Amino acid sequence: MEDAYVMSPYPNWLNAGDNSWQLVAATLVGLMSIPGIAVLYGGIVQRKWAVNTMLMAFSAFSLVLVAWVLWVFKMGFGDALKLGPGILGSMIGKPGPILDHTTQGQASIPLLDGLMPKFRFPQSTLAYFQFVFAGITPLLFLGSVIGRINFRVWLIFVPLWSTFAYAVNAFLLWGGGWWAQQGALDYSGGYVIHLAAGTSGFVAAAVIGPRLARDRARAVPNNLPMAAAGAGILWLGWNGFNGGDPYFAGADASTAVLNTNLATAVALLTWLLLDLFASPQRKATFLGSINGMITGLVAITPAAGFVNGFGALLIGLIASILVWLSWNKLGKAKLFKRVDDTLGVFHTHGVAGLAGGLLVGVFADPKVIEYLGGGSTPGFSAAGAIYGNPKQILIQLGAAATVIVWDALITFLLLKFLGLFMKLRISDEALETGDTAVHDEEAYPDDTLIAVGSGPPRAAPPPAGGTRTSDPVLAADVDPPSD
Amino acid sequence: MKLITAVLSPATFEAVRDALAIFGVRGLTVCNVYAAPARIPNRVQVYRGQRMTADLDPMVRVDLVIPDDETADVVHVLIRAAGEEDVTERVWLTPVDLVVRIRTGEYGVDAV
Repeated sequence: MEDAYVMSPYPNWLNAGDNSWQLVAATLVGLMSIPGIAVLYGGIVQRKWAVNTMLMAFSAFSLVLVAWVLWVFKMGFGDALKLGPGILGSMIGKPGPILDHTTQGQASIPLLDGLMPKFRFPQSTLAYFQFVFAGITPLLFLGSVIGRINFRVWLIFVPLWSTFAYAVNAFLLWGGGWWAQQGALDYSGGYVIHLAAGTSGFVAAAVIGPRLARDRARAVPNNLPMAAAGAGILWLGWNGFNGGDPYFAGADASTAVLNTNLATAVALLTWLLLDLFASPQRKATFLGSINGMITGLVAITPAAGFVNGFGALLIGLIASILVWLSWNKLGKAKLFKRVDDTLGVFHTHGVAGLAGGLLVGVFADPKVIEYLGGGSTPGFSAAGAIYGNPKQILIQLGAAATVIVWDALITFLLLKFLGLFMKLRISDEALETGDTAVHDEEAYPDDTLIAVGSGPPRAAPPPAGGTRTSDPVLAADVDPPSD
Repeated sequence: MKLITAVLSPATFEAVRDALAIFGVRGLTVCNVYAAPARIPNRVQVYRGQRMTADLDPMVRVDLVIPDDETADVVHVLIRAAGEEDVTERVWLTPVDLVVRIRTGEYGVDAV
């Protein structure tokens, strides 16, 4: 009978608080993708692309998860695959599945063993937490290619990109790879996710080609309240994005959450004030402030748990000014007119991610401690230029350059390769119609205009103002214009 | 005076609006309408497995009152801007007895 009393819900190494927080944080980040990005982008695009946009978001999220458990997770967080000397020896992990029962065991990232506290949750928690980051990245650069990318190309491109681009980014900076060994800082994905998305989106937009000229000129959003819901989910979801990255529900998670919200609020207000006093229209705009919000979220991401409150405030301010200038000035330059980055992912994720990644090299405060020391082991924190470590900026620059060059190259090669077999861009005729041509669905169908069944249509009564082609009366009454 | 009414595809409407603006013709009234296309088959839509046909295409209807002597020119602009053959675009004219500009009280051609 004693057996019943020795049953235990979890092993000694598991801490219920840490595991709970990590699962909640992961779920918050997942909500940023679906529905967050799906409805934010779905609301910002033209009415005729809302369904296509949302479906690409949901399908990419699913695709990445399947690839993740089959081979990609281990490429990002497993044992190093030795491809050569130097960076080649630790830029990617050995691919493999994570489907058996061992995911119930204690989480581990082999190359970080001994460099951080031992995980207090199982491998499945780590795998899911890291998946939601891998899952949101293609959704972010989706914003660059909306309104013309062939849906079938999207379905193939996303898992390939996760394999060859994302896994490398993650391994280099988070899996204990070469740039992590050099001391590069990326708290939560300023480089791995946002700089990567900005770069890949821009290159993909260039390779695939632009939208219809008319769509570019008249790209009005279809539902701003829906965009507001998505943007709000992004902001608060970011508490999991940055708050989850210490992997422990400790003081640094709290620091990261507070810093994240502070930088975001400052960046939103900065953009709003710039719009109010420095834009041609001299008015604050909702979508502008959303850009500012995203800029702040992205820029604080690489720094969230490394800087103090002053640092967070300044990062929000500086990044918002930089990205506002990039959006309003650089975006008008010739190259940016030629490449059709639909939602401007280059600016709000690429430039903001890069700015945040460099600014953490300036503002990282050695007294903001991620992991406490104990005995002879020192704690872990980072120092930036203003705390006497200017070299950190160079390391940050090097890591940024690696991500930019690698992701641009991989995106270019993958799309050129897929372009050999299929059309990357939807036909002009289907582009005119949008959702109904690609998916047989539209975002706001009108039930009075639709006949049920696939047979020949019934003659529907014309709506107010409409006309019927078979009406002979009008033709007879018109005097032909005398030329 | 004549009331010109045109039912145009959205693409043609863009061209017509630009052309009319170049000629200084102002005062368009525009609404979104649906019109039966010239061609079959219709667009199929599928919701939760149920097939439906949309036998009407979204079009733009333009109403414009102009003096008689401009009629030929404006209709000419409309015809030149016409879109693809399989889109049913039409224009028709209706005689107008009276136009009053409410704010100023102007009558007739002055009010156009």
